[in-house]
Amino acid sequence: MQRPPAIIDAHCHLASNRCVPREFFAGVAANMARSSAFQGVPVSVDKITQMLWLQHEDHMGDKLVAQMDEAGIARAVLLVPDFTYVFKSPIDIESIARQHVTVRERHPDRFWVFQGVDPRWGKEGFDLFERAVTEFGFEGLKLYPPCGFSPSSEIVFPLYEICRRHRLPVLVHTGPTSPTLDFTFADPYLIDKAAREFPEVNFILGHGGVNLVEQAKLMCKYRPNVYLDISPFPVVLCDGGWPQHLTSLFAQGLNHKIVFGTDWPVHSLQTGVRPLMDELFSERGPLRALEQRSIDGIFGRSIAELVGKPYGN
Amino acid sequence: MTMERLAQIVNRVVSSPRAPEVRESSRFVEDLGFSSVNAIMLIALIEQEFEIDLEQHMTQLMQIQTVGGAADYISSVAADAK
Ligand SMILES: [Zn+2]
Repeated sequence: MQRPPAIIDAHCHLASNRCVPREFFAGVAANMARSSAFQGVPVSVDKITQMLWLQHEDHMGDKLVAQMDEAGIARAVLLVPDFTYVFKSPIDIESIARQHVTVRERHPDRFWVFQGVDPRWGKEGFDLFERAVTEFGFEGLKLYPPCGFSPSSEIVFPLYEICRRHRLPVLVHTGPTSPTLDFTFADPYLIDKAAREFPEVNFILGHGGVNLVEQAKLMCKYRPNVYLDISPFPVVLCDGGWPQHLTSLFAQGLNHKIVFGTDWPVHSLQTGVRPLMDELFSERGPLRALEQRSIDGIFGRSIAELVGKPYGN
Repeated sequence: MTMERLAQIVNRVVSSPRAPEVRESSRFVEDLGFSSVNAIMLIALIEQEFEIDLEQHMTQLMQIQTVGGAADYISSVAADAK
């Protein structure tokens, strides 16, 4: 088994607390507080929120690039969810987009950017998204339905129309997330109507290989324009651990629809991605039975094709 | 001294009966199976035990991979605080 010519991480984020509101961290902290209390070390939600907040100071992406280099990752898709409609945020969504422009200029050829816009901003938001494509050169749309809308609601269609015109993919968050958001809109099946109405637009179910996997797999099998990513595989709920889960996922004839992603920095801030890559590509790892075509597809070729870029060196 | 006290705290955080003995060279994630919750618990306990405030050191703490590395770092923070 060979590592692909260029590994692309199709799902990660800038670890910057300018781009993620505090309430998002507070929700994550609430779950961690229950766990730490059960383990006999009670830590307050506020304290954990503050610790998480202070861990996210990589505003220019330097730390991210360093860990990509260490892990052998050539390029990553930076996803920019728009939480600014539902949470009070330090900066507005346009400034967040511009921060990603700066990051990209600082680290040329390392990032593609999928810009998020909450559809409830209406025309102003649609215009901003189109400018992110035409002026900033961003490569896709990121949607975060748990903010309170279905990805098949007609309020989102103007964004899909822009994607159709510019041939851009859409990455849609699926599965539970910070408990300060609404999980009812996190179901992979909710993409069905949008995928049917916009057959020329490709949709990637973010976390589809980890959350609500059965629904995500069926959607990928039967909707030609639906894909899934495997982020954040290290925290999948599986008693045999993530290598066993991925071995099974990769054995189901869906590898042409699967793209690799880490969801950095959400679950791998401490370790970096290197140890995960080493385990993935080890002799007895979850890729051991895969043909090279599938490995290349999952780890780079498919996401490059989805964003319409050449793949390889 | 710092290392002994730290090893005790680390033991409290790694509650698994199968956890290996904590040494200076033990790596938090690979050897001790640390999750992000374990890391949070450890930092909170270190603050209590050593009476130091680590909030301003989160970025550096996240880079530390071994128990020995953490002991060195805590010693330097504690020395600066005096
Ligand atoms: Zn994500």
